[in-house]
Amino acid sequence: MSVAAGIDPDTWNRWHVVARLDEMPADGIRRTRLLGHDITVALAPDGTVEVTRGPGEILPVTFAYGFAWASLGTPSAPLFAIPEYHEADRRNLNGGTFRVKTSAPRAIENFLDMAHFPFVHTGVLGAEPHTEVKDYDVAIAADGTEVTATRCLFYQPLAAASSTGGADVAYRYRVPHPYCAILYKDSPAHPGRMDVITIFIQPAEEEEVIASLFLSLLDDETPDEDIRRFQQHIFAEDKPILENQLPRRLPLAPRAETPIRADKSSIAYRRWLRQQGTSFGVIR
Amino acid sequence: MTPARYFPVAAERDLPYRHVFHARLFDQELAIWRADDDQINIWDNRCRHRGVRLSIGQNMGRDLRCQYHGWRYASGDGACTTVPAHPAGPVPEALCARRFPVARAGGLIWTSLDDRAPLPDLAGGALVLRALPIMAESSRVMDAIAAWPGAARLDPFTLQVDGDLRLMAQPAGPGQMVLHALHLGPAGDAMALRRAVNHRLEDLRRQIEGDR
Repeated sequence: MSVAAGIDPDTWNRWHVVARLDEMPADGIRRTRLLGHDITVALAPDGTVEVTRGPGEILPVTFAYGFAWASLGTPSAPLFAIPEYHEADRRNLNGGTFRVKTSAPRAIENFLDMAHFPFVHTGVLGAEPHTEVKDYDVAIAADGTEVTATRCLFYQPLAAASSTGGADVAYRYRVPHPYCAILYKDSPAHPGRMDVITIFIQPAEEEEVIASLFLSLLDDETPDEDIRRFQQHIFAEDKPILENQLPRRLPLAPRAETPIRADKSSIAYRRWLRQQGTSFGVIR
Repeated sequence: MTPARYFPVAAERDLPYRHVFHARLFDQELAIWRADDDQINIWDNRCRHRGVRLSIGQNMGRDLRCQYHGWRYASGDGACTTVPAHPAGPVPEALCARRFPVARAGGLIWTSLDDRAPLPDLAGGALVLRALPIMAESSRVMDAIAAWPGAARLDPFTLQVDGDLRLMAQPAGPGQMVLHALHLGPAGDAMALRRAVNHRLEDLRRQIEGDR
């Protein structure tokens, strides 16, 4: 493990998403920011990737889900697993990349939140009067590696690009990384199985992030562009909310904001960040 | 510490039917809105739940609805009345929007960050000319105006020019202010008056912002 002034060791030594490999610039060079540091992602013609900080410090790099991940420190564990990604009958798709003026934890909380569906994604992911968030379960894994929310149920007029009407949709969430979250939701096409929608957030600065959506769907019918348009439409509704949320960094003090029962997942997520010692993108 | 006095933060005409107006005073963001019964509310511009600006919410006539989760805060006491995620459940006890005092005088809406401030006095009526945001500290703008011939300084935030033009500073935040211009007494040709003051203030802004 190595450390840097001002950034907690957990964040410093983690893998962070730094590039979507199918969206690299034509010259193969992506200059970007990670945790407030200048980094360069270089994709060579032979497919190898090198990530450097500043003038030439080579950073550890790994690949998963079509993305390059790097660390400013020394990762002590491999990146979290998404087993569904490898299932043969799934379509793994790019759901769009968005720059947002907020902190990574604010964006993760928004991704975990169901209560906003009728007001922000009106007519698609929710609709009045179906505003109730029914009780669900949250847990922090015994080994402390992730937060989960299970047994979530919410009425949705148009749950996915392939939906034909409204339905009570079952959700399950995993937060296996402070800046990444995975949503499992009922697949309209395959009853009993779940589509996977993930958000990987590159913490460029404390209050500016690059959020990438990545989908692993059970849907052989809907064209790629329709699925992508659906996800972009949803995110375009979240972005102005996120950019009007103050403070931009997530306050971790239990009484800094006003949580209610529906916010159980947010309460657990904030507690987990406190336990991890996360300092980047939060107010401790 | 902010001065114990009221500052203009909006004009009556900035609050049309079911609008929410955004203002800032000493870096405090404000959501200002008029209920259908003409009650004016000046609130901290954050929903108590998750910090979303109330100025992007909806003025529902009797209450203000947050855009994020539909929480509603009542005009007047600011009490949270509705949490849609729990339609049957109780609203968090004693939860209110954070309110600031409201004063209405001379066609302007005034507030203070200090409850002990004396109310503004503009008896005799006034014509609201315009409000001009300037990227500079209030003190710099007021010093520049004080150097005009015919200008008299009434206090650090108020100037009187040529007897009937009153200019008031709203210190918005670091390096940003809003200058409110009023004409006191009978206006005569209001259009010509607006045009003349407008030119004068635009020149002032260009001069001050150009000097940066």
